[in-house]
Amino acid sequence: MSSPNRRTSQHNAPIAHLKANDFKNASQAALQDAPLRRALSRATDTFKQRRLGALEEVDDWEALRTHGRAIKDETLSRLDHHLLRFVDQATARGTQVHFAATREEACTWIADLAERLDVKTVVKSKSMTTEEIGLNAALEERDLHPVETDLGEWIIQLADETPSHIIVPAIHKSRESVAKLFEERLGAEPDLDAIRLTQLAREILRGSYLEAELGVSGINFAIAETGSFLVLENEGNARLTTSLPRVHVAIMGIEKLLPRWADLETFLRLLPRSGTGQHLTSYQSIFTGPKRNPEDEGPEEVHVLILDNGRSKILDDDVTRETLACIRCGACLNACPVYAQVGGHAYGSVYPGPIGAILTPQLAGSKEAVPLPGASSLCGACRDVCPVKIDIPRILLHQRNEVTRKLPMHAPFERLAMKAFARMACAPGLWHRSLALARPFLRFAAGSSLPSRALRCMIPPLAAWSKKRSLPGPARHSFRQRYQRKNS
Amino acid sequence: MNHEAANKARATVMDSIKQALRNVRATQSAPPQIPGRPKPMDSVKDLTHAFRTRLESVGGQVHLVPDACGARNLLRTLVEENDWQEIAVTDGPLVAQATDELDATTFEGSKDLDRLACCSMGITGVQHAIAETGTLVLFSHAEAHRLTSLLPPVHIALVDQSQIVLDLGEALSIAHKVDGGEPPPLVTFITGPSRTADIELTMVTGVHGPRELIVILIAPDSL
Repeated sequence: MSSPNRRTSQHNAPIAHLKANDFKNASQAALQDAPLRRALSRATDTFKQRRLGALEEVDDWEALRTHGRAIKDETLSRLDHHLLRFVDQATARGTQVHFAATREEACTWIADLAERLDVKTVVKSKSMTTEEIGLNAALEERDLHPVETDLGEWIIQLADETPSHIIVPAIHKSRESVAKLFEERLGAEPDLDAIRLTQLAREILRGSYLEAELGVSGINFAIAETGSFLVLENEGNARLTTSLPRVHVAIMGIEKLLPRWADLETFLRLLPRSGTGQHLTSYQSIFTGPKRNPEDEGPEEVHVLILDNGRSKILDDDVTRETLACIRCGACLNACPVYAQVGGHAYGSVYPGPIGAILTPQLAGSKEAVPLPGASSLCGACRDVCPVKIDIPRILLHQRNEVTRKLPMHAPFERLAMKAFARMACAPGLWHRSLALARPFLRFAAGSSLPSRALRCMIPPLAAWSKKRSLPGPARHSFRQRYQRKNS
Repeated sequence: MNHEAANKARATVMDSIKQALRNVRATQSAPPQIPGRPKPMDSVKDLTHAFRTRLESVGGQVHLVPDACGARNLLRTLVEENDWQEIAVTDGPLVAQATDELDATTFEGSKDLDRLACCSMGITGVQHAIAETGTLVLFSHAEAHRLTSLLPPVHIALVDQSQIVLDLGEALSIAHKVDGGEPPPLVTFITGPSRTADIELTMVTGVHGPRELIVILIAPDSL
């Protein structure tokens, strides 16, 4: 595995810790990492099975997906209107709403707030958006002490790594390596089992919740109609993060909105089933403003920070706009044959897998993530499992097209070859004659006595291609020839 | 960020969004019929059964009792068996009835955080329960159960069969207007104990919230 070290933060890139252009080396390293691949295949297989089990209970899953997508399309097509409504409604109920155009603005705003409140410890529940903006590194630079409280996130924070899965961030780590980490960093007894490790996390993090005066959470869905927002989880760390500290800050991308309170029903049926294969996660919290008289419990101040960071650019493109319908369930990661082999870190982005392959280049710019649109076999499994029917393969193709057009270094040979191929493939007569001519040569090159032997090309541009792929030599007669003979 | 900078950020983001949507026509509202809803159930007995089955499938424990007296007796037995000494309670109406003869010290969880953090068990009522998902529904304006249902290692919830609604939609539509036409500051859905599978997908309960969720359900129609 290439080192997924957090300290490589690039200050100017729109996504923190971005190393997507290293995909080729990182994925090759991952393929050599047997324990990683075992962990990945076990995790992705388990989630796939659980998801299928959870779908069976729903009467009409397809209709539910269509409905979810319709709500997202409705939201995105009038996002300005819904956002303003959210701001008005949330403000009317005592929530303070703020905007950040970039990740620096978002980090600065949160750090400024922490300083104004004079807090040192900031507890955080799991949020991909805070990973995207690199909040922890930014807070540390200002001498603040952020503490991740989701068990997986806490593990990778202790290990100084980045998440490798949207839902289970430490999926790449074995129980042994977590035990070793706890031993080294926390002075734990050696070789603890998962139950003891979890208990230890509970004990230590309880202190952090009670000490922290600022809690930061993400947002799964925000409601324009009431200015409310919902957070889903299994551990209870988000409930603690948003209940114990005096101030609660929730951060979301502009696309997290739903128009109506009633829309939650559809997404509560879609998200847990797609993500972890649960019919519902253990906890959902729907927040509408700070505590009201006569409540003793809950935060005195609630802030929502709305982040753009490149999303409005995605909204501006008719082809890729649907990327913003994503509800971050992680189903496409589990379904993807490429993700299952190389894992999340190979993508060099906090957003890995199929959704990461389309989202990362759009947020960061295609030059920052050249290989990612190619990191797919276009099998379409991601599209089939997506709870909001995002056509990821279509967007991948669109992005490959963009990359090829923008980066002329690939161009001369490939373009010429593709043009020649297109010409041939469009003329049936020419196509058959060329194939008939090429067949004996290709058979000779592959070693005609051994039909299983693969073609290997030594000529430079093709050599690079055939080094990693086997192209079997052609059969003596084509299918068409055999079909015609049989029917004549 | 000062006030001016904040206004500027808002203007920048909203302008970019407006600009992005300049040529986009508003799509129609999603149809009002919501797919995926469970089939209606006729009787309280069916709702109770569905709720119980669902919650038990995710590791929640459900005990049926005939009345408040049954709840009180069961609670006393559980407290004795587990040797729970310090018990946090809420101001919920069912809670007062069920805890008045307990052989343990009780205190109001929301009033004493330090004690709550160390006690052995928390007892709360709920505002509703959902048959479709086996879920407890808690409204923060109605009862001070935010932390009492969360900090102790065991959460016991007292539920009356009349509180069970059919599905998520019904529970959400009640929550929408419940606090003087408004949603309360916090709506919490609880479906089973706190759980994690972050280490090699090994399921462990009680990671940050309660390790055990016990529901005492007053259900005369199901006994």
